[in-house]
Amino acid sequence: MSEQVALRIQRQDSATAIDTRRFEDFVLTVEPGDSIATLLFSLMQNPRTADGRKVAPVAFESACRASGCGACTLLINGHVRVACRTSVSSVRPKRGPIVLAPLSKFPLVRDLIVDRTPLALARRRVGAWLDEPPDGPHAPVALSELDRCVECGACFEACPETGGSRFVGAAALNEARLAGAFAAGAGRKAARLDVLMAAGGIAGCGKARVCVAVCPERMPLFDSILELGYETSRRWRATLLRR
Amino acid sequence: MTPAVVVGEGIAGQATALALLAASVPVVLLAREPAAHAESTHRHDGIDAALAEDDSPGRHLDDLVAVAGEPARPFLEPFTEAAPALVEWLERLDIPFERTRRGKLSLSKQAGSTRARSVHAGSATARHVSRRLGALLDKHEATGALQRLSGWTLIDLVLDDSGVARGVVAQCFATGELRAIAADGLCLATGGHAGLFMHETLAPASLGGATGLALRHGARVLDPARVSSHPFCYRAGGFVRRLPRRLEALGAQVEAGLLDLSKIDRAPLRQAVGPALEAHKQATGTDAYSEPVVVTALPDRTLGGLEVSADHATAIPGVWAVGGAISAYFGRATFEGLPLGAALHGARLTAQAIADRRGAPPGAGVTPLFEAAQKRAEARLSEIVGQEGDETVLAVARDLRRGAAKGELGASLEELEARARRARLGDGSLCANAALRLWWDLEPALELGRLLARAEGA
Repeated sequence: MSEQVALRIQRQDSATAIDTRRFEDFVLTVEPGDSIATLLFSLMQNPRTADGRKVAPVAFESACRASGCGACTLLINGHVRVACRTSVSSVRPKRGPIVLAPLSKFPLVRDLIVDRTPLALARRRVGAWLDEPPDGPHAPVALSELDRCVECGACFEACPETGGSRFVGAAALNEARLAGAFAAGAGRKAARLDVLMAAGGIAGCGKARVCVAVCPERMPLFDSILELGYETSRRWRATLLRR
Repeated sequence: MTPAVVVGEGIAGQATALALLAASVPVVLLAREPAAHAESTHRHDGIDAALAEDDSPGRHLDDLVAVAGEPARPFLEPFTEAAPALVEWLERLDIPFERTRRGKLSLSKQAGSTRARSVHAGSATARHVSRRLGALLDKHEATGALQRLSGWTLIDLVLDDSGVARGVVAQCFATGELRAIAADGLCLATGGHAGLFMHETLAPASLGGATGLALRHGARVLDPARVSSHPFCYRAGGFVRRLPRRLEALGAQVEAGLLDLSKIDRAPLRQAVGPALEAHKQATGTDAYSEPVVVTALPDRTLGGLEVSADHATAIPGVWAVGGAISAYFGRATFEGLPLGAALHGARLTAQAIADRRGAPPGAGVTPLFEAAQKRAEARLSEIVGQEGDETVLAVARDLRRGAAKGELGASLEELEARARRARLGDGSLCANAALRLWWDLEPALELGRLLARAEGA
C-alpha cells in the first residue's frame, strides 16, 4: 500500500556557492520496503517541490544500490546512514519530514554529494599502504571482520574528534593496524607506529566508540584502536630503552 | 615520460595499473567511481584454480572450454596454468580465504565443474582483493608514479592521423572540467554493458559507453547480446539485488521461484554468505535462514564485448582492454569463479603488452591533436546542454534498456537516436550533473545498440 512521505533536503549548487544553501521540501509516494535511496531515485525522475516548483534534480551519490558499497552515505535526520540500507519506515518521524543532508566533515561538491578525499589522505598520512608481499607462505591473519571497509565515511563523520582536530579517524587507524598485521605491510610497521604516536594519531581518539555504532559493515573498529594503543606504547617503551 | 592511461578502477583496472607500475610505467588511473564503489568489488564470486591434488590445469581447462566453447581456449589455457600461482599470490597478500581445519585452502565444487576448485573469502572475495590492490596502489600514489583521477568520466578517445590512440578526453563529475589527457598506452577496464539489459530497475551497471566509444573508433565487438543470468536475484525497494551464486555449491535449489535454505546447516551458511543474507533480511524483512525467499533469474553480466588478441590488444592500435569489457574468456557461458581470476590474469598480460609496446614517438602535431579534441568535446558539451526537448535523457536511457532487454532494438533504434539528439538534461549546472554523466554513457551505447539491432535480425 503506497503512502505519501515528506522529505526536506539540504541543497547547495556548488562547493563555492555558499549563498545558495537552502532546504527544499518534497512530497513523494512511498511503497512498503522502499529505502531512502529509492526515494532519491524517484525524485530524480520528477524533481518538483512540495509547492509544485520545478527544480534542478537533487544531486546525490550512489553506486551499487544494493548494500554493497558505501557511496550513498548521508545524514538522515542528523544521523549518518547509508541511504540504500535504510528503509523509509525506520527513519520516518512521528511528525514532520525526513531531513536529508550531506556529510558535514567532508568538502561539499553539490547538494548531497561530498568529496571523500579526506579518507584517502588520512590513510596516506598513517602510511597504510602495502608493498609486494614477501615470497613463501606465512600463517594466515584472522582479521577478516575488520577487512571490509567500504569507504563510506560514516566513522569519520560521526566521530566527535575528527574535523576540527587533525585526528585521522577510525577507518585510517584500522587500515594502519591491518597493514601492520599483513605480511605485505609488516616491514614498515615501526615507522607507521611512530607516525601514529605523533599529533593527530592514536592519542586523538576520545574513546567515544561512535565509529563502531555507525559502521554499516559492523566492523569492531575500536578493537583496532585498542590494539594500536598497545602496540604504540610498546614501541614507545622500546625507543626509551634504546636512548 | 607520458603515462599509460587505465580507464576504470574495478579489479581489472586496479590490477592492470599495479602491473604497469611494477614494470616502472607511470600510470593515470581514470575512473567514474573509486574502487570501493566499483561494480566488480561488490560481487560475491570466488576464484577458481586447479589446486586440489586430483586436479590439474588441463582438467580446469576442459571444464571451462566445455561451457565457453572452443574459441575461448587460447585465452583459457594460459589462464588455467597461471591460476594456482595467482591464488598463491593472493594468499601472500593475506586475502582471508576460507580454510579447512588443517589450515589448507577450502575448495568448493561449483555446478558443472568436475573438481572442487573455488576459493572464497566469505561472500566478499572481490572486496578483499580490491582492498589489497588499492593498498598496493596507494604506495605508488604516494611516490607520484600513479595519478588517480577518481570521479572522471571517459568521453572520447584521441586518435592521431595514422589511427593510433594517443590519449583520452574526460570530464570531472564534481566540477565539470573537460581535459584531454595524453596516453602512451591506453587500457579500457570499463566493465561490461550489462546495464543495457537491466530494464526492470535503475541499472547500476554501465550501458557500455566505453565499449561504444571503442567501437566508434574501429574496435570490434563480439556477441554483444550474450548475457549470463544470475539465478538468485531479488527485488527490494525498487532495485534488483543478488544473493551469492555459491549458494548453489552449498546445496541450495530454486523451486517454483522460491529459494529454500532452511534445510542447509546454518553454521557453514553463515560463514559462506552471512553478510549477504543479513543484507537480504534488512532489505526485505525475510529471514532467509529459516523462510523460503522469492528469487528470480535476471541478466547480470555480459559475456560478449570487445574483441582482443592474445595480448589483450583491441583492433585500435594503442588500445588494450581487460576484465568485463572483453569477451575473450567467457564465450557462450562461464563459471562463477572465472571472471575475477580472468581479470587479474588478463591485467598482467595487458600490462606486459603495454610496457613492451610503449614508446610511441612523441611526434609533431600531437599537441594540436589534443587541442582539437578538447575543442570538439567543448562544442559537443554546449550542444548537449542546449538541447531543449520535452523528455529527459533518463527516459531515453530507460527505453534503450527496454529495447535491448526485449531484443526489439531493431524497430526503435533510429527513433531512440533521434530522441537522444533532442533530449534535455533537465539540469543546467555542470557541477555533479548525473544526467550529463548518463548522457556520455548513453550516446556511445546507442552505437552498441546499433550492433545489437543488427544481431537481432540475423
